[in-house]
Amino acid sequence: MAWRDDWRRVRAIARKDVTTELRAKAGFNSTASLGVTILILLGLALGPDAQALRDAAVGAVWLALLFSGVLAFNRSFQVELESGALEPLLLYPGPRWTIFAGKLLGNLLFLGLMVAIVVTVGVVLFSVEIPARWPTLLGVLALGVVGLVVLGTFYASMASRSRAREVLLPLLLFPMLVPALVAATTASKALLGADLMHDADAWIRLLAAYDVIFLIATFLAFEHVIEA
Amino acid sequence: MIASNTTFVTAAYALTWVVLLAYVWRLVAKDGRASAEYARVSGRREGSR
Amino acid sequence: MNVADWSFDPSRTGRRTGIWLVLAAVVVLMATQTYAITNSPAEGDMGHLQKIMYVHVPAAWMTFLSFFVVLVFSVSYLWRRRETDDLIAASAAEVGAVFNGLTLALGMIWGRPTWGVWWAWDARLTSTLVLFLIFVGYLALRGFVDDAGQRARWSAAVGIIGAINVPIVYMSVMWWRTLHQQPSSPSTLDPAYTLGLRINAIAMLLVLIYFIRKRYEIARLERAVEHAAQSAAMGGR
Repeated sequence: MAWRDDWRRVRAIARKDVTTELRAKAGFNSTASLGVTILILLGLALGPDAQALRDAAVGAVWLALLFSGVLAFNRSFQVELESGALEPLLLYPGPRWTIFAGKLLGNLLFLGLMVAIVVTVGVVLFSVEIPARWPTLLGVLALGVVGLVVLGTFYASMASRSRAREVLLPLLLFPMLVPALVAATTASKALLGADLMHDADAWIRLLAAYDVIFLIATFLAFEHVIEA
Repeated sequence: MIASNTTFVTAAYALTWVVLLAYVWRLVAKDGRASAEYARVSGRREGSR
Repeated sequence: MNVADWSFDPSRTGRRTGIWLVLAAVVVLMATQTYAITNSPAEGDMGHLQKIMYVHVPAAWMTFLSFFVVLVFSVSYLWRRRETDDLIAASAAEVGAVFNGLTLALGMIWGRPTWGVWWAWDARLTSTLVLFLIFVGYLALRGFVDDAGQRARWSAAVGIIGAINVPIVYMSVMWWRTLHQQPSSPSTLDPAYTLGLRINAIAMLLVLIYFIRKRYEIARLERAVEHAAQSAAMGGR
């Protein structure tokens, strides 16, 4: 029963965030455009040799996701702060972790949509050939995005309430994402190539473990972070 | 051309000492400032009482 | 917030003992370095370059030790909410960043003549670099948060989550690529070098203790000033 109430809180917060974003599309449009712009710039910097671009595609797409994702995470708390809505949100009854879960879900939907756009553009611009194991590749992408969103949402809950939130979030977040970045790009490259060594599976397990570990850790730590 | 091994060893030890002593210097300077500030603040509190 | 345990009186805590500790640390470090340099034979592959080990390896150990202190006192802060724990963690983080930067620079100075490159993307170099970035993020966060309670809770969270990440970074980069030699620990070393390494590590530990202690005392002074300013702003007591 209590579990169902918690789930309703999570859904309510996520729905509220998504609705806010849908009403004012400026936030989504600008972050997605930034992602695409970064891809174009990387293409210009690394091209025009088609093979070189194809080799760099995975790294380029991930960097574009990281840099545009950072903006999205800060937004999700900034909107609350600007309207003075975070304090009342904390006053509502029910466990605090539901706030984090709701924000997480909202950011996951928001970023999922953005990833779809950026990855599609990346595949076209960098002339990536879709391999036979594309469902696994999508799985790698999903696991990587979950890791990005979990830590991004967690650090944004602090960075967005500090001075200098624009620099602080990437400064805190990017070093933490090193294992996810290495695992996701290496696994994707293996899947796009021949993967003769069957490397991809080990990397996918690492990525999944990373997600689970930090999902638990951030949920536990959030109680301390959100306290007024 | 790579400099001789002795150069690298000397550079390593010199760097270590420079870094450690610079940090000692920084600590001492910071301590001086913090102590002065503390004396000023506590003095003012004594005075106002 | 427990302001109650803030009865800190700098005139009564014997802060000037710091001068003896730093002098002792400097003398001991000079002695152990002289001993190690003069008593180690030239190594087979590396010749006299091996002598960089006596500063590089202890610096690396002190880096990890500092980060361990940050982890322990961050957990302790979230557990017991004692402000002193937060200040110790913060002091250890700053000192750790200094040793971490030194470790990286010394590693490069050693790497250039032995590997022929200043930087290699191997597991331990890269994870030490990531650790440095985590230290930097931790210190930046402390710089950008004004409320003392928030600063303490947030940096404790960042310290703990960062510590969880370090072994994962190490593992991932190790799978990714590796060319570093076996970790230098007394058991894998030729006995001719063991004693030199051990005593240098002890000397470096003295330096570390002095640094953290001194930084902690300064942090306490700064907090006392902050508290005084706060209570003055609230109308004075």
